[in-house]
Amino acid sequence: MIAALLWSTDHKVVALRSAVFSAFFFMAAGVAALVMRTELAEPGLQVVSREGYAELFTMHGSTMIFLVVIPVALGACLYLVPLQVGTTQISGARWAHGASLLLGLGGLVMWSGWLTREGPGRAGWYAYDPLANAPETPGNGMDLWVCGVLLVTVGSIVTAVCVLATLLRRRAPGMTLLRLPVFSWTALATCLLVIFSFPSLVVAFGLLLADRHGAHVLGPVSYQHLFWFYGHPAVYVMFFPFVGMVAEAASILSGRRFFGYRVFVIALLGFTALSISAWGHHMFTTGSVPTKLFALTSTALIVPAGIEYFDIVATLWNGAVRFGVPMLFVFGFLLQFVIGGLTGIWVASPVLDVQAQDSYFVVAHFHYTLFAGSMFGLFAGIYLWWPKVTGRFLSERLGRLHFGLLVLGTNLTFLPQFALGQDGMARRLADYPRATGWTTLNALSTVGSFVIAVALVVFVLAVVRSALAPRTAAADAWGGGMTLEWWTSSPPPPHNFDSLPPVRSYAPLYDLRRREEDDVPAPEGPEVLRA
Amino acid sequence: MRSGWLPLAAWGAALIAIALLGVLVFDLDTLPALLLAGAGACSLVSGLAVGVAERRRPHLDDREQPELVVRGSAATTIVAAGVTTALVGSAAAGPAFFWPGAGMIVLGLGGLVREWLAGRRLLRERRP
Repeated sequence: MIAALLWSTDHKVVALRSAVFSAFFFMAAGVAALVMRTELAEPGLQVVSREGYAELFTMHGSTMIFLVVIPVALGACLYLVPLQVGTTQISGARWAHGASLLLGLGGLVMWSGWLTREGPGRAGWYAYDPLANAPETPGNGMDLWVCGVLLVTVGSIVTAVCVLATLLRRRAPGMTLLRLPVFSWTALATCLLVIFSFPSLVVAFGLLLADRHGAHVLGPVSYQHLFWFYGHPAVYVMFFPFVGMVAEAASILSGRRFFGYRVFVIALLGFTALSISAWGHHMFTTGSVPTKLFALTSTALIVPAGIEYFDIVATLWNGAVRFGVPMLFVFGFLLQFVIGGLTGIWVASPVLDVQAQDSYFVVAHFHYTLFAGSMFGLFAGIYLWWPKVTGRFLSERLGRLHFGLLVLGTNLTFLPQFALGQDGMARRLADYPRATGWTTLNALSTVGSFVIAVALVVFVLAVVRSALAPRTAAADAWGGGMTLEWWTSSPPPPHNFDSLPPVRSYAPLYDLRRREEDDVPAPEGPEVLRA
Repeated sequence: MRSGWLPLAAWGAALIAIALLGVLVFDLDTLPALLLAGAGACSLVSGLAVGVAERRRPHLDDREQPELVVRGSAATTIVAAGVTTALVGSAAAGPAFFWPGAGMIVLGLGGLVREWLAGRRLLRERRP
């Protein structure tokens, strides 16, 4: 067991190992968030110092982005893509294994800064130059934080290369690109962004590290370009796989093929190209970027996003929708991400962005995209594929409770932050004067964060209960699987498949069911047997 | 149909087009233009390389040959641990970490070569 965890190169074990690492870091980041929210519940410094608060928001943000959402997004691709394309293993299995270890080790390095005299990284998750320089943020803790992020980012790039190579070179016979499942297409888009934008962060942080050790090679604006060329696509890395999960869940649990598949694929590639071209809107207030270009690319994102939304909703339309827990999270994602998406138009406008810059409005916006959106998409995916991964189902009753509490907690936490931002509350503040009148909204937000914590405890209970239950899930656990992962046993064997059905569309299992219903003989071409 | 090169090449071309639009119409500066066009060029070249690879050798799953399924690699674990230790040593903790890390990298790379040779030997034995 320990050996399997330490050096298995099976893509499923590697992905689950990454998920376990991320779960631990998620808990740590969650605790940091609760401490911050407790501090902000009322004016005055009650729990932490200003310095400690800077450490907390830096570690919370950087952990959630570098160690939780991105690794989970890539981990899902690592687990599901080989199964969806019908192959025995991931391309570059050793590389993927090493990359997942870099995630865990890099995370430990980031968090080991707490053991140093000066404390961990405390210059924000973006570590702007010159704030992150040695004179402004002295100490080994910051160096360790930069090293940790470098390791994790290199791990992410390597993972993406392995997934992309699998998608391009290991597809089952008959699976052309336009027969890739929807989730696999979102994985492909994710990999493009990781491979071609994340190296920019490696360069930025490498130069930052050199800068901290005396080589002055960075300017503030150059650093911001390098950082945000990574930072904005990273948002979509934390979004696309979860859209893919929602799309698959919508299709399976409504019993319909995905609506507008080809248009979705084209929109997704357009979305990807625009998303890597929109980083400048994070720099509007520097006055050093052509605002018209970046306002154009940022606002244009709404077109492919709208197409994807339309496709998912149209898939549900007139379908035999089963309101199980995964579908509840699909609806949670669809309804709440709209809030994050529409407030994105606000910050894509240079004039409005100047007002919102560095305020709680921005905090609320990105938490609606990443937590109310991506996290709900992730939970839709977790509840959908849990039976495939473990052979067991998660409790429906606890799942509904988890969903209800999470919706309540999420909106209670982040909705008041829009109003706080509009009223001028700046982000990264450990304290605020009572005269501002922000106490009630902050208290509500704090209560909401604890409701989120309770919701997550309920999810952990559901996981524990599932682990103690017998394995009852069939290969096609939901009885409506469309893609190849639902062909093999639950959980899949180490070699993934004993046989494969003929692949003649992006929904080969749906095709088989239709043929059986229509009593049409199977097309020529025997099943592909693999030892 | 094997067309793995297409999304890479098309996506790269799209990025170059957006970079050109930025430079020609919106006075985009050199660094951001280079970032965008550079990413596009890398994607385009990767796409072309995949296309060449697809022409030269059959798709992996089309080959009527046994394939080595790698199930574990202790050497990779040692290399990953070594890289982490060496980087921490070079940037923060000093030579007490750097040199053991470098040693682990060398040890791990040796192990990787050994694993690779064993895999080749196994494949040669199984080949009809």
